[in-house]
Amino acid sequence: MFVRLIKKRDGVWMYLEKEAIDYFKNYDLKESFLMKLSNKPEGFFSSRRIGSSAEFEEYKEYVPSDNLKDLDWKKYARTQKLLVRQYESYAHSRIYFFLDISNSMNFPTRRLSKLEYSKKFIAIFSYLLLKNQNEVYFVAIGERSPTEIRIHYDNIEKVLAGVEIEKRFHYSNLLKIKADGIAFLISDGWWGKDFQSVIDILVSKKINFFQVLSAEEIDFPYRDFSEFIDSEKGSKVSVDISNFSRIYRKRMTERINMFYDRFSNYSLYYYTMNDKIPYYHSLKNFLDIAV
Amino acid sequence: MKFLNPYFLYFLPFAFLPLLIYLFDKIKRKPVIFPSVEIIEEIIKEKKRSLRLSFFLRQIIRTIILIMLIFSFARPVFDYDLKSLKDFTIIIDPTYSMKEFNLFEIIDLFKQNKIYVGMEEYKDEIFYEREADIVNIINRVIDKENSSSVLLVTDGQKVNFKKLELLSKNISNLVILLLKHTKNNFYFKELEIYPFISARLTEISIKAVLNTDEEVKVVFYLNDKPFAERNVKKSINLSFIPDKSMLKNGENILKLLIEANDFVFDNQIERGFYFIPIRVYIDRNNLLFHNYIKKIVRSLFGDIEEVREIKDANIVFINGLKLNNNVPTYIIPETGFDNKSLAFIKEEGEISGEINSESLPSLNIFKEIRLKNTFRYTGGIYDLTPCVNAGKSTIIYKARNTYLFTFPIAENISELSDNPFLAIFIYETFSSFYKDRINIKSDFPPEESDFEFYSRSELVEKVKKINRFINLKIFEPDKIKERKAELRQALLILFALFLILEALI
Repeated sequence: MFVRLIKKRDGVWMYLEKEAIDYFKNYDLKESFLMKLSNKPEGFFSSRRIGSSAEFEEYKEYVPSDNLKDLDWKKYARTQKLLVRQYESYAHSRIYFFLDISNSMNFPTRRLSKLEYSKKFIAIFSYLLLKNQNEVYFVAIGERSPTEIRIHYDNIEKVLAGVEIEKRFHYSNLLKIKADGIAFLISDGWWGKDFQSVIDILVSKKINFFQVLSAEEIDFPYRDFSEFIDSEKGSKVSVDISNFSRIYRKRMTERINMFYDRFSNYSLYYYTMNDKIPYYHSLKNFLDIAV
Repeated sequence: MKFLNPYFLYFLPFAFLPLLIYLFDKIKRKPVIFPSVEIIEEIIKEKKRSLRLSFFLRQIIRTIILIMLIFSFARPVFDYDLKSLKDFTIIIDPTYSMKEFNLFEIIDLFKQNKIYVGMEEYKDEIFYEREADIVNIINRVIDKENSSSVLLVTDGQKVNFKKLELLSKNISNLVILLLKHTKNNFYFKELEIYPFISARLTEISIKAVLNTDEEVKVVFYLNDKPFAERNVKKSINLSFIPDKSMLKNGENILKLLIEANDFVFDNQIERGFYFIPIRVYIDRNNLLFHNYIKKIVRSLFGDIEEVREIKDANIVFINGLKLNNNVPTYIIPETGFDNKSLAFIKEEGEISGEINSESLPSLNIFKEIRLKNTFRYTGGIYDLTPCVNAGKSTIIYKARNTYLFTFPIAENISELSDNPFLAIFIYETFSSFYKDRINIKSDFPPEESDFEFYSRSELVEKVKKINRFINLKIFEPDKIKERKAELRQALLILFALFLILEALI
């Protein structure tokens, strides 16, 4: 396993951070997790590797980390030995990370932006996936035509550092990538009038959705009379309504719930990430839920 | 609109603070670059126009709330028609000072109300009283009428406002219609009158302190004849010697009138009279002396009142050597008198040697004393002649500026045949006598001295301090057809409503 730790240089964020790696030091990304995520058999390449799949391969002696479900009790009754069934491995899945690089992701400006947060998230997630010998692909979705880049240990930083903000999120770019594997879209979900179209594409292409939001977008800590400028459209809007924050927060909650309902109806994952929580905690939380 | 506590209005600018802070903040505030205004626009679009202004409206409401709170503390009052007093029981102060006013006009205003004059229900006639316990009257009337609202019509002269707190708790509304005496609305805070009476009136001294800074015209009458007129400001200290012609034979009631207010009464005699009662102490140890002197004095001064204590008297007749040691005394021998040694006591009490009687001014006064009046006594007619011709020892008492003397009266009236002499003594406590107690022979003001006299503003202040009555009001006397009602309660209710409204917005 090759990990290169690069410190922050010249104001450029480094993405695969030691603390994240340490956090997941003993973590084993279970293949059952990928099994659950995957809905396409072709997302998996079979390779002869002992793992847990549908096809029984052989027995092995039980160790405490083994899944108790794989214990063969009949065998135990006969032999008085605790033996675990091993199956043919379906390791080597393909995972796609689609990252929204529209201007709205470049918020907040005075601390770690959503974009950078997402990149770090992708970095550590990719690291874990690569550790389990999966194929990881990265696609930046903005205004320009997207390019699919395969991520390895030695190019994580470079790939992610090379991503630049573009003005808008053109959802149609999602269609340009085949994504024949497990897919995740990391976005803030501000798709404007294209909202329904994006949802439809995500559902049709079985893309799971990680919504990353800043604390400001969730808590709305602004006075009831404020002026806002849309980071993408540039439009200005004045707020002069009492208790606006409360109304906004309520609306945001409804939006999140709506996302959850939509995606869960199609057995897709929807997970909200708040940039107040460290990205690797968010990942761990997600993995705990998913597993 | 007027305010009972106008000083609170100085806090009004602070009421605009929420609005000013909002406006200032709005000007200062920079636009925020936000990822997406999707939700913001959705909310704004959904909210109707009126609610779009609700934050600004809230500031307005907050400002109004603060204004109302300040106003309620300032206690605004407004005028409204008397008709709203229809449930009030009217009680009219029955004391004599109310005679100045046309009470029938006031009664006519309230003809739809139950009206009492003092304790008695009004029935076309007003009976005045010398004094009245207003608080007691009010309590009893409201019990009788089962009323909780009272309108008291008074000039405040006889009303002991200190006792207003003893008013029945059943009263929820007390309105005072405070009538103002016309023109010179003043009262004597202190009034001291010193008539110094010797064989003839030598001096009358008047000291008075007024409760007004205005100049007041005071006219002095003696026995219905004006003899002095002064423009008085704040206080008057007046001494005068009445003319002998003011004294009438056999009819002398010393009557000093001080006319200060332009009162209008039907009976002119009752205008502001201050009677100086002749209270006489006559030594009773010698009954013959006693009876003799009594007749003399009555013949000179008419009706008198005999008192048993020297300190209660303004004229003292004593038989010779009975002295009060506190009284400054001159004792001089008189020519022709028995040359018993007499001591000359100065005012300070020092006793020195004999004094030649010729050198003392009292002798001059003594010489001037002439009483040409004659009196009748069952024993005969006697002339009062200067005591130089009197027999016995003479004792002169000095009281203020009057030198008076006495001499022992013979035990036998027949010894007075040639030179009867009238001994008069005035005690220095005369002034305190009037301060503590005035014995008025007829029912007329001044009121008893335990009542304080207030200027109108003082009265208002005193009444306002009685906090029990939120509805305690005082009429402006020149706006008799109006009544001021406090908006305070209404404001506090509105204030509470606005608070609720603000919570709901």
